[in-house]
Amino acid sequence: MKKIPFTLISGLTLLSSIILFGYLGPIFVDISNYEVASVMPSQPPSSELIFGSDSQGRDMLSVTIYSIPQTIKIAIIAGFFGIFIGLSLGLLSGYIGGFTDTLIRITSDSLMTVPGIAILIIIATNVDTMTVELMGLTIACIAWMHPTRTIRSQVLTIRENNYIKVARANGLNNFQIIFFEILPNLLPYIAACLVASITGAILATVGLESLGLGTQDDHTLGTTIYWARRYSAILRGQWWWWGPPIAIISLIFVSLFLISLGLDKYSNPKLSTLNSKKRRSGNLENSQKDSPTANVLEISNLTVEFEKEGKRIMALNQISLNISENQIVGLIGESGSGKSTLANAVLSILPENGSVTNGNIIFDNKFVGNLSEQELNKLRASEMALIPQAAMNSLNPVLKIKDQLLDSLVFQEKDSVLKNKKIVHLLNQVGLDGNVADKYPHQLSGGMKQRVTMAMAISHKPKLLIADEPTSALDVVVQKQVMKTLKTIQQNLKCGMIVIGHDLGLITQFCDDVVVLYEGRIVEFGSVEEITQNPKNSYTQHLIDSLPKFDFQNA
Amino acid sequence: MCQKSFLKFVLVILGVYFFWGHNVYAIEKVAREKTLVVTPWSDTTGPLKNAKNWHIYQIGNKNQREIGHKTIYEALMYTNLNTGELVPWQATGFKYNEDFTTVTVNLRPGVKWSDGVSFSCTDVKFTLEMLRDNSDLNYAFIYQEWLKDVVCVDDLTVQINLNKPGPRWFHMNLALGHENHQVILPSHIWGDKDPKTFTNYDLEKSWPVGTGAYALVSSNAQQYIFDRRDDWWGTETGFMDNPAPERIILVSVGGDESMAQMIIADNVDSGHPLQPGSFKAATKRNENIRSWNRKGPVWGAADGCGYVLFMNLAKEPWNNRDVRLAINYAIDRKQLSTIGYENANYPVVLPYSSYMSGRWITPATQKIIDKYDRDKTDHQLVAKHMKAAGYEKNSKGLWSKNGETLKVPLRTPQWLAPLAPPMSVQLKKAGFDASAVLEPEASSAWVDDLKVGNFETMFMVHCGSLGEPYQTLKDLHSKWSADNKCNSPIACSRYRNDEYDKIIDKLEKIPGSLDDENYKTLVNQAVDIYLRDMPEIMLLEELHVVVYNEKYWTNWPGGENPYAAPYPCWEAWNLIVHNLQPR
Amino acid sequence: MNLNYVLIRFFQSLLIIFIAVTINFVIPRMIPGDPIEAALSTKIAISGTVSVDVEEMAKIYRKKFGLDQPYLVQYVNYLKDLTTFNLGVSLVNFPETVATQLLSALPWTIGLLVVSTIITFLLGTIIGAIIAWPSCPKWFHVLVIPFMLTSTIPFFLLGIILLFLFSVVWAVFPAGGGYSPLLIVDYDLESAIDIAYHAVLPSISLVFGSLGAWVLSMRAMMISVQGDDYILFAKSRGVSPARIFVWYCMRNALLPQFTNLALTLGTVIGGAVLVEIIFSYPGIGSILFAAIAGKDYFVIQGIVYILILSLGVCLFLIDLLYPLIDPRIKYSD
Repeated sequence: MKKIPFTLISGLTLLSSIILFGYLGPIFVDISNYEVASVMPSQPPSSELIFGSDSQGRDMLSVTIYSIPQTIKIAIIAGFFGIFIGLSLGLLSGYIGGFTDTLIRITSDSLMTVPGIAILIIIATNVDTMTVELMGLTIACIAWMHPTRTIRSQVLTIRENNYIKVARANGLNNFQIIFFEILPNLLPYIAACLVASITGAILATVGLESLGLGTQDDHTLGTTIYWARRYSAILRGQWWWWGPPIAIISLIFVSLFLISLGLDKYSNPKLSTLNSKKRRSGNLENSQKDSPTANVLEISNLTVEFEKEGKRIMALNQISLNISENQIVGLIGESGSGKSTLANAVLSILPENGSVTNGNIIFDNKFVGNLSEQELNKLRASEMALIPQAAMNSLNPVLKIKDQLLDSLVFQEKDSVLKNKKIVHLLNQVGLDGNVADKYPHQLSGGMKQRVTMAMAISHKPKLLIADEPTSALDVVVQKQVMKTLKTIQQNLKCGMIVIGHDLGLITQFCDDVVVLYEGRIVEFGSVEEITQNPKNSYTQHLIDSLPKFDFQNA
Repeated sequence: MCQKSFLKFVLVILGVYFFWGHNVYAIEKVAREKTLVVTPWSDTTGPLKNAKNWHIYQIGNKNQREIGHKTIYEALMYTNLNTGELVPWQATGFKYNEDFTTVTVNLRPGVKWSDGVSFSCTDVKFTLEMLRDNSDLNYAFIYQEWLKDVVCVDDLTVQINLNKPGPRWFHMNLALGHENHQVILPSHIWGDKDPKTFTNYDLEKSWPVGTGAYALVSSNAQQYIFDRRDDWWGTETGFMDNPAPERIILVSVGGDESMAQMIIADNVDSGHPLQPGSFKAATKRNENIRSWNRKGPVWGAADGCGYVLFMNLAKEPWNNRDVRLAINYAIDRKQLSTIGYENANYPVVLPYSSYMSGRWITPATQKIIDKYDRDKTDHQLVAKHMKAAGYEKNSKGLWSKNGETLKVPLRTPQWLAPLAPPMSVQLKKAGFDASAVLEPEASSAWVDDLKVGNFETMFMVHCGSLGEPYQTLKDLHSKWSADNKCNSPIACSRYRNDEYDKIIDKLEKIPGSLDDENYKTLVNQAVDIYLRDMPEIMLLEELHVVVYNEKYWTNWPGGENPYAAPYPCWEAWNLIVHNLQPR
Repeated sequence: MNLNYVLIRFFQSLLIIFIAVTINFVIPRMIPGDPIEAALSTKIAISGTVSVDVEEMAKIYRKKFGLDQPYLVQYVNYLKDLTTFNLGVSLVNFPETVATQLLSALPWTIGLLVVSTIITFLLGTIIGAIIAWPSCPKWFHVLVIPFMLTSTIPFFLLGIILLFLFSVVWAVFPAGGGYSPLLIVDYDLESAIDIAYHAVLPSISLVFGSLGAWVLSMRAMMISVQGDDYILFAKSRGVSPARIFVWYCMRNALLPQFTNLALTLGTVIGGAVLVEIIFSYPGIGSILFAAIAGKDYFVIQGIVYILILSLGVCLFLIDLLYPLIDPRIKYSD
């Protein structure tokens, strides 16, 4: 059960207090004083008339209490009607698709082109006697459009999910699919839409009422404001006439706003990061290692923990590892074993909820943990490099390749002509043509994108290169080419390299040594020959066994 | 580098805007203290309409109702409604013949149009006959009904021949003082134009051409500007000095609040009347602001109308006099004014406005008013009349007959909204099942309902009380209504009384005059029947809180100096312009 | 830019406008009762003194405006007229044409709306982005709270409060109107200053009233973008935080914000109508309000048509602008 955010609770509390004020108020206050000529007109707030009176002798406290339930009624009628219609149309449109979808979509889109207020005005002027209920229905006429759109797009996304296909394969009919599979997933969106609908409904009704198109006999918050304006209460400084309705309306909106913030947070916890992150200050004196070694990277007893929904999960448990120049280490393990975490820890780009709780990372004889953010950035820009997993999404979609490469070169070259030459040279080094520089990421194939990331990685001749599953998302032929390029790069740079993967075959072909990770622990470490011929750990044996073997003898 | 050229680009655009865009026909500035700034009447808010169309008589074109326009087209005579006196202007006098079928008007010598052509009988003949002959012009129906022809005895003597006796015809139509905007047009300009489509607007030719002291120099949706002419005929003939304001600007106004703000800031001198509350707030913040009366709580000026509650006399139970009287005694007129209008108007029982009530409520009339004593709240009298009508109070204290309560739905057109809530409460307290039924702002369903008699009770205004009692008493004559039509809202109450009708018929044939004993006697007879039967219940006089800002201009018409009736939409505003003095 | 792309978008917009315009035609005609007679009768009843045969006048008007034709003929004429921008004639202020009325008011509304919307969009986007950046200083959050609070108040109510505070209590700003009555509106500096002075309160209402929504949506966008892989990769490459903030985060979060702009334009126009009424601003809002009160059929229709058209044009323009900011759309045909 997820923790309910504070904003949601405070929003609901505020809203309920306002509603209670309106519905329970008549118990404590003589509500009949909302009629004219009940009290002395135009009195400012005093001990007898807490909210004062308007120029027609109405007691403003009674008026306010009386009008709250009316406004709420309109909002609820409009909001729920809007959601109901929106939900039905959205489901129909998104699920069935085809002509129905086009029809509904075009209708709602074109109606959205007509400013809502115009439609409302036209409808409202033609209602003979406006009542609270009619007002709600009037607003419902435009309240359905936005939910339809939102629900429709959500249904479209959900529809393509695998579990829907599974359900269909299992023989559930459409009706059951909609109710049991799709609808539960829509609940957070429906809740958000409802809040938005109600907010919009109150906005629209107050707007219409301020124009004088509201109910005639009944008081709502909006009509009170209308009468106040009509009797020049603003000019006459009778703020107690229009002040309370505006204050209550604002409070209602604030509470709805808090509720929607809370709902957002509840369904998307990442949004709760409102705190500033402290900038790492660094401790340079302690960063140098006492006895320098030739190792590019020394990791000792590294433990990394994550905090998720209040629980601490240990991703890496007492990892110790040394990598020297020109050494290629393969890091293998199944998904979730902590491989990417290790890479991120080395680069100090762990996400917000992750932290190093024990151990050290020493890079090039510097304690990484003691370096400031600025220095770390320098390191990342010049000495360490990452070739990321899933290069599909690793490139900024809106910048040209050239510009993104330049970002990496920012610390190095100043002259633009030289820069361009260097870019073409870089691209050639990874087997790409120079004209790739002017393209956008989505114009390149998967393999090309991967090579671009490699180009970025080597652009500043790093001492340590981490390749995180460099070929996982590519097909076999391309895999081989990419690995070949990688090999060439490593031979040119003579850097230390960590290759992360889950394919033992690929790793053994490429690396000098292999580290096997299982559930955050190193369970095996050794050279490729040692591992493959003489695995000490059962998991390693398991991995070796699962390699496809060609048994020519039994062919 | 990019930024620099962008900056240059912006500077070039600004330069073009400020130098080239500048209006070549720039109007000279006139100092504020020499300018009269006014806004239109309160039913005209928002941008000014028909800025390029100055056809006075086109149906729907309400331009002539605005202040500046009246300084271009003058009247034969003006009426000071406050006293009933006529102010000769383009004409010097008029005279009816014996049976009131011809009125002879004498024009003033020396009156000239702004282009120098003399004003003469030809223009009068042309205008009146044009109205008679073109049925889709404004006021055409009057001339079609009344005008036989116009004969020019000579350049300065106009003989208007009517189709039937019109003892008050000249006063009503050509002695302008209220919303009769029948001004004379220059025949030498209009003569060859198509009266249906001519716009009468061309600043280069100085159209519109009128005889007045001002000329139009600029006209758009935000402002009309009128500048004083040097060659007005009035100064040339020694009739009158030039009016004091050198320029008149008519600006659009957003409404009550916006008018109040503008006048508080001394940006505007007069125009849109304010609500009593806004007026009080405005005077607190600017001591130069005043209304018709310098002291309250009754600030405002009359407009010939009174608020009335009338009923459908063709239906039960409204045809029962006792029921009507009971309702009358349940009402507290003073409280209606206190709550609805902040004490800013007088209670009334007769459809007389303060234009004429001062002189026409003679001692004899007052005796009749006292005899019936209708302006009082007395629940015992309510009970007496309701019981006489066969009603008893039920368990909830509501008057009922045969198990049904007497429902009083008070239909209220939007502009009368302040009356409904207080009266509804008063009636409820007296035992009536009353409710306020406000008509929606944009609806005119009540108009249709009035026509076919589909209503119970309704608030309305009884207007027309400009100079003599006949003007309002006549509305209750039975000839103005039938089962499914009625000629005016008041007539829609469908009052039927032969005796009353006969008196009104007699009054119709004679001009209203305080010197005519016969007239006065007939009036008092009608008043007696009226108060006895209470076919409608007059409530309060309608007063408008006109505002004047005395920072730049004084000598406005007021209670102490009532030389004109001060509505921006009434023709006599030209008198005001000619009377204003700089501070 | 690809001609195909432009053409497709153009025809889509045309279709949507066509449908909206048809709806615009239908709804007022669902009004029960005769608007012409109604409009005339009310005017006459109020003035009281003059009795005119309303039915006769109504007949003349009806013929003039072609309202006695069958609906289909009216519809065809309506469409024909729209293409030539002949929006008909005002019923209440005959013979003034609807187009004249609107033309005089349009510049004011456009000025107010366009300026306010641009300011709101820019401010909201920038503030939202800054708030979403983890290294954002705490004092900035505190500074922004008042803006968030004022945005929960609907902007026309905010307008009332501002009007009260700054025109009634402290007479700092004028209480309405687009310019001061004495000013002869012209293309000069004095006019520009006067107009700007009068526009301050209305535009503040519009800006403050909608700022919060933009800030929040930009913040949400930024946060979700920050979780994307390419941000992580850029960090790992040592790209400077400032560059990541602007070119990697903001630039990508801007795209959905733009879509939001398109979607909310309709609401913004609606809100502007109400703000104009409160401040007696001489724009389309005031005309619409008066037209409703007077049941001026053609004016209402004309205004709604202009609103539909301008919204359609804006959406079309935004669609055209999209490829400029999102290269994925530009180059994928």
